[in-house]
Formats: sequence, C-alpha cells, structure tokens
Amino acid sequence: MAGLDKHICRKIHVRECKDYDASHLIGAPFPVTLTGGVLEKHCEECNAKAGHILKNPRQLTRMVAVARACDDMKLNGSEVRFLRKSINLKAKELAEKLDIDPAHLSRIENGHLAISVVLEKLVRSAVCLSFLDEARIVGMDGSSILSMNIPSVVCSSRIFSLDLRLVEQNNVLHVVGGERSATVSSKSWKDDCEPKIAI
Amino acid sequence: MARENYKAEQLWLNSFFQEIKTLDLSLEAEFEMRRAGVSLAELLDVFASGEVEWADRDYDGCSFVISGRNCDDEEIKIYGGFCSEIEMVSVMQIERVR
Repeated sequence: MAGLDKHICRKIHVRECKDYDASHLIGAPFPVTLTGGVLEKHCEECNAKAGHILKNPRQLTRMVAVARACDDMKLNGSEVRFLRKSINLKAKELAEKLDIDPAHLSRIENGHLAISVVLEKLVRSAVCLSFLDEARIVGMDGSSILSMNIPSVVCSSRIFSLDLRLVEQNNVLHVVGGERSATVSSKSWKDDCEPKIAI
Repeated sequence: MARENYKAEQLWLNSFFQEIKTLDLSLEAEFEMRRAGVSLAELLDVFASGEVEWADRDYDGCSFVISGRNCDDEEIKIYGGFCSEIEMVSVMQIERVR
C-alpha cells in the first residue's frame, strides 16, 4: 500500500514570480501581467506550486483600476463593472452618481448598450478621484480625463492589456515601469513612469 | 450569539485589515476566487468591513473565519489566519455564499 501514500508538502519555500498573470485575481476583464511584487510558494521536495504572496494588494488593485481608467481606449461593459467594483460602489449607487436609471447601467455592464463618452468620462473620473495617489503616478487628473479623446464605439480588434513592473521598498510597492498595450496600437509608460513613481 | 465572543478580534482584525501589507493566497483560494469570480478588491473589502464568525488566537496572530458582503450584496466567507509579527494575512479558502 506504500504506493498509495500521498505526498504532503511540508517544505514550502518562496521564490520571485516572474510574469504573473494577475487578471483572474484582480478580476480584470483584460490581461494584467505583473513582474515583481509577487512571490511564488512551492514545495522544495516535489516542486508543486502552493500559492502566491502579494505585496500591498490594495495598492495593486487600485493601480490596475487607475491604469484602465486613464487609458483612452473605449470601455466595454465588463470594464465598466470592473471599475465600479474597484471603487466599491453598488450598481444603484453608481447609477445615482451618473444620474441614470440603474436598468440603463445594467444594460451597459451587460454589454447590451455602449456607454456614452460623457458617462464614460464620469466613471473614469470617479475612479481617479477615489485613488488620487495612483492617478498622480500616471500623471492624470480630472481635467486630463475630461479632455480625453475617447472613441465613441468599441473597437473589437483592440484589446487593452497591462504589464506592470513592480519593486518593493520598505513595504511600499513602487512601479518601475509599465506598459499599456493593444493589439493594434501600443503606448509605453516607460519614459513617463520611471522618474516619478511613488505609490 | 457566538459572535459576541469575538468583539476584541473583530475590532483588531478590521483595523489591521484596513491596510494589508502582505497577502498570502493558497492555491485553493486562488482557484476558488477564479471559479467564483471573486476579485482581490472584493476580498480586501470583506476583510476591512466583514464580521468575525470564528477566531482562535495563538501566540503570534490568529486563525479566523470572516464573512462579509461585496458591493453587489453577495456574501463572501474567508477562511484564513494572520501573523502580526510579519503583518501577513493568509487566505486558505474563500467561499461565495449563495
């Protein structure tokens, strides 16, 4: 019966996790890849993964929401829902803030109706106002969002994705680089972010 | 009535969880988050505002079961523990209560 003995992982060690796909964890409807800021737990004996350790998870979720809110690619319904949840608002509360019927917001979130440019700017502003520190990192403020040139229709051939490079210093996460990209066009943060990051 | 026993843990955990420095997620918890569609932001909000259903203090922290609601009023239960010395919260399992 020795063959039926189940290995129990006892020697758990951690190592740096490179290129961690965090989209499912953050609940983002677009790809989010993290480099740094995440450790992987594994069993030293059987090398099986045992989980992950995230540094400053709150900052991380805020950072991803702000990054999406500050990108000028049109939001789809899932992204509107993601941004609403990231600022911890009920659908009814966001609908009140936007001065629309909750059923209208529900249709937008379920993808039955495209969000108007005006409403979209209000949603983005709500996110940036909720997370001011993170918004400063990407150099955005209320006026930048209001003057943003957002296309009026969702382009199905373009997919937003986010690649953040993080380092931890004194228990604080710093973004040392990042990239927002799309299948058609891409926009790099590298030059913008490196000198002024301090979450 | 059992929750009356955890007033101290409730106060301590909710204030401690306002700013979690390190979050340790088991593979099972990650899998369940993906399956049940629970995001990290929802998890952190439950930590900060949820109720302690059960707790067991030990010398460097405690094990707990916390339940709370997300912004869509769905109940989420978190099973885990934390170590105060290294300010790390471990999530062993989560459950979206239907």
